[in-house]
Amino acid sequence: MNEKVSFEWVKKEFFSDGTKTLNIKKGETLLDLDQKNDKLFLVKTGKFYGYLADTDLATYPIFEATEDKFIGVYSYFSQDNKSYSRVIAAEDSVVSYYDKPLKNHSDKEWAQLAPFLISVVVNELYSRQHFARLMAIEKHHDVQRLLKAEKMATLGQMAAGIAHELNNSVGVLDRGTDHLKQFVSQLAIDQKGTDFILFFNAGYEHGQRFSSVEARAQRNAFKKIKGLKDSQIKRLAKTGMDPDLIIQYLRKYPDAADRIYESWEAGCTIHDMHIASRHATHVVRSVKELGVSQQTWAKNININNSLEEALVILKNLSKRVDLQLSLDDDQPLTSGYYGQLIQVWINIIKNGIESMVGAGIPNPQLIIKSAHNDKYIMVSVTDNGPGIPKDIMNKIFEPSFTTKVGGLSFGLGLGLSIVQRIITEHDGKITVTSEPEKTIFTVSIPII
Amino acid sequence: MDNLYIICIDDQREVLSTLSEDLSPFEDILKIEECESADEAWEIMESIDTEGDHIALVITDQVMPKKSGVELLKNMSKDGRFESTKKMLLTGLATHQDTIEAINDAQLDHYIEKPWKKEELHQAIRTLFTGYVLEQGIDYEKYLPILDQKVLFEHLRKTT
Repeated sequence: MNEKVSFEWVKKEFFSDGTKTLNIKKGETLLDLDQKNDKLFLVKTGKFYGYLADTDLATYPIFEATEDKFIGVYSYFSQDNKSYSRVIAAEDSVVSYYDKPLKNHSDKEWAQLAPFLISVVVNELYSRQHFARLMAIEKHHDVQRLLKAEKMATLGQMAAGIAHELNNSVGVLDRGTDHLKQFVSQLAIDQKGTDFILFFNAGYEHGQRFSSVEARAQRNAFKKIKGLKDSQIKRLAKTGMDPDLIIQYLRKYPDAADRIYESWEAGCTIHDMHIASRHATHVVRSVKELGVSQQTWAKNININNSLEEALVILKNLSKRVDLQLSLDDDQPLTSGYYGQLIQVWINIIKNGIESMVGAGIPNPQLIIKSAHNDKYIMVSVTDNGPGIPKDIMNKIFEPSFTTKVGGLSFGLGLGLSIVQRIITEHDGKITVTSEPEKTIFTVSIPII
Repeated sequence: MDNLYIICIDDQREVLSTLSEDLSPFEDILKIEECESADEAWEIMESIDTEGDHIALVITDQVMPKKSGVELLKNMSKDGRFESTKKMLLTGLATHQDTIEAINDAQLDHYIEKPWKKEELHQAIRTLFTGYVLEQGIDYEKYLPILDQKVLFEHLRKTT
């Protein structure tokens, strides 16, 4: 290109007339739809967006013009001199313009301008196409986000429906178990079956407290009793009751071995039913949470406070680990569902503690930190448990109704899908990195 | 000496207890041991073997902490002492892959899904146990009440 028609030269030659400079305030319209335009604008500072005529797309920008970009290229050069888009300042801007009609240019001027004009047009084409591509990518992401949100919502509704159905059944089982226990106890007392009640209660109160290893070790204590079958010894040992007590009783009633075990087992069964119904109640409640958000959006909430509330609820559990708290001193307030955020922390902290305790590591340690930058409040929860196996890492946020997923407890499956739903509702992010002795969950909540 | 055992393995105590309760009709004739982990089961099996007794059948859960049921079964089929033992997987959580592995690498004999039906479990145990007794050439007279009559007659028909 001729050195004389460099961009700097064009700027100086055509766009340096101080009288042909406009200050456009943010929100003001530079060109309107179908407006007659005989000027070629050059943006000195600021930013403009161009919008299409179509009402559906009235808020959808089709191009962007920043410093050193031209506006009005089409209308200035075209025959009808009409603007095909509405150009609005996105911020306070300054533009210069060139308004000598095309036909008034001499041949010499044309010769000088031609190479420059071509580069303007090419540049313009390129930048619009680039912009269109960026918009397409953004739209793609929006669609993805929408699909994901929809998936979560459908799942939530389904889960809430199932939970509602189960809630009543579980309630009946729970109360029925209570009732049965009382009835059986009363029956035993009425019929003076005090021996029965002794063994029944042992089963009811403690359940099967012996592990299979412990029960096996206990068998020796009963071997001195004559006339007991191996299978009876095995069963008596399994009760976990004081052998002396049982032996004493057996001396009085030599045929009572089966009755002792059966009484104990009846109590144990009711005990297990209680545990199972409590577990089911918990599951149902968690599932219901997945589906509904009864909470209201609150302004000026304090994330540190929500963390501390979660720790109050988890007081008993957190006693089992070395808890280190390092909270952000000057944390800004933000908006969100306060109660749901507490639930997020409970789930994450509980997972951390349970993974460490479950693995039986010697010095379980949980570090909770909060921090912020100008956009986000970050909370991280770090544990030194065994880590999340790589093969299930990408599944941990999926709702799962299994009690064990590769050795993980129930809580993680359902808990983390709830966590993710809540974080998504806050436009936040949750990330996890995991290696043995270092699993970090990081939650970012936007400051709004 | 010469006792026949069934080993049950499940890390959830209540499930293990229910399972052993379901097996109580066999307990007059067989010995039943309950274990809460694959490692515990292995230990028991070794000591049973040392005593000169036989393990006729292992019934195991799949998903357990540390060692899975399929891993245990694989180790058994590689070990001369337990390769003829019948193997049953009783699980609600085995993946497709687990199951393929169990059949191909651990010569699984039977698969039952949780929650199981008592009758189905009993029938499977009878069939497997009868197979074991006949294959090992053990005198079956003593075990008649719990043998699968169909399998037994079929065997007698072929051998006589």
